[in-house]
Amino acid sequence: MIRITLSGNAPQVLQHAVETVQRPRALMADVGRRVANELRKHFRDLNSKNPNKLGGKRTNFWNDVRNSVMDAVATDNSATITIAHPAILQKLYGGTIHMDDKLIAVPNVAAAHGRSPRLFDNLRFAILGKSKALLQGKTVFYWLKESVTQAAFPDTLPKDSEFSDWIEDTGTKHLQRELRRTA
Amino acid sequence: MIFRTQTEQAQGFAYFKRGQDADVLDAWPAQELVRLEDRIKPRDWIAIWTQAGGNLVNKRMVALKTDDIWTAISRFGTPYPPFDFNSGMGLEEIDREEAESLGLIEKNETLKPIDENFNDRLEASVQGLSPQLKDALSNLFGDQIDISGDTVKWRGK
Repeated sequence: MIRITLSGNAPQVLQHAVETVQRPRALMADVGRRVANELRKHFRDLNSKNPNKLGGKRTNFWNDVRNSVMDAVATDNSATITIAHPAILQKLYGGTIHMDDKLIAVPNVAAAHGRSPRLFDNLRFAILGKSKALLQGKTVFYWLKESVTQAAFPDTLPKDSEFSDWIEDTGTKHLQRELRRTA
Repeated sequence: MIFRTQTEQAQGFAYFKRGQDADVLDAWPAQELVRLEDRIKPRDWIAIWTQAGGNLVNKRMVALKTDDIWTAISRFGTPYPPFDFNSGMGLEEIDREEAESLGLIEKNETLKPIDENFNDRLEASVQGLSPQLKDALSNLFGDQIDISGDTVKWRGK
């Protein structure tokens, strides 16, 4: 899970807007909603551009991440957006995954992708050289590992400059709307 | 599939309710139907949209959140996604300025939020149920249900 809070370090236009509008919480909610919506678009884009490398049935991982983006919780001077997906930190920072007393099954063929070995009733355990595996016939369906180290996925979150642009754009629009109504 | 659909309906309803908040509706008055996940045999949503009376704006399936089109394209008769079983389609919000530029809303127009409850269209078939069991349902739920013909509808309260 990740929480993104827009507050003191936000662009100057937003701080100015907060001081100007009569209902700063509505402004923060608006800006927070923009950021949440842009994050959803970002993850939709990742989902369409990143099918799994093995092929096979898609798990639509990035769409699950999209669905975990919560709407902003706004106060008078901040907006917090939560991405509540359990694997988002692993994608953002990378790292090594261990399981205490079990082995990790890493899919090796498209048919195994996104499916637990428990869903197959014809896999057999084999030791191939120094590696452990689950085979169907002579095909390695899963490699069994004590740990897996994954690199960070560089595009997990949009660039900082994009966040600033969204905040500035929506802050400005909100302010213009307020001014139009009070004019 | 039923479990997933019902989970998505609950998520869709929550998204819908938050989007109907007066402030949010004012700042984000419209939405677009977009493909979130690929399908081997995708439905022709452009055809579904236009046959249901929806207008394409710059080839996009966009409309105000309060437009009847959302209920019209839904297999489930709800104004929020999913709009069909395993459809892979979803919604993205459109802010006021873009909605104005697309001609969906006037500059000073204010939308009235839709008051929709999750179980508004809840119903089940009672076809084949004996009159005694139908009476038992009526006695048990009272005014909360309405049995007419082979259908029992949830009235809540």
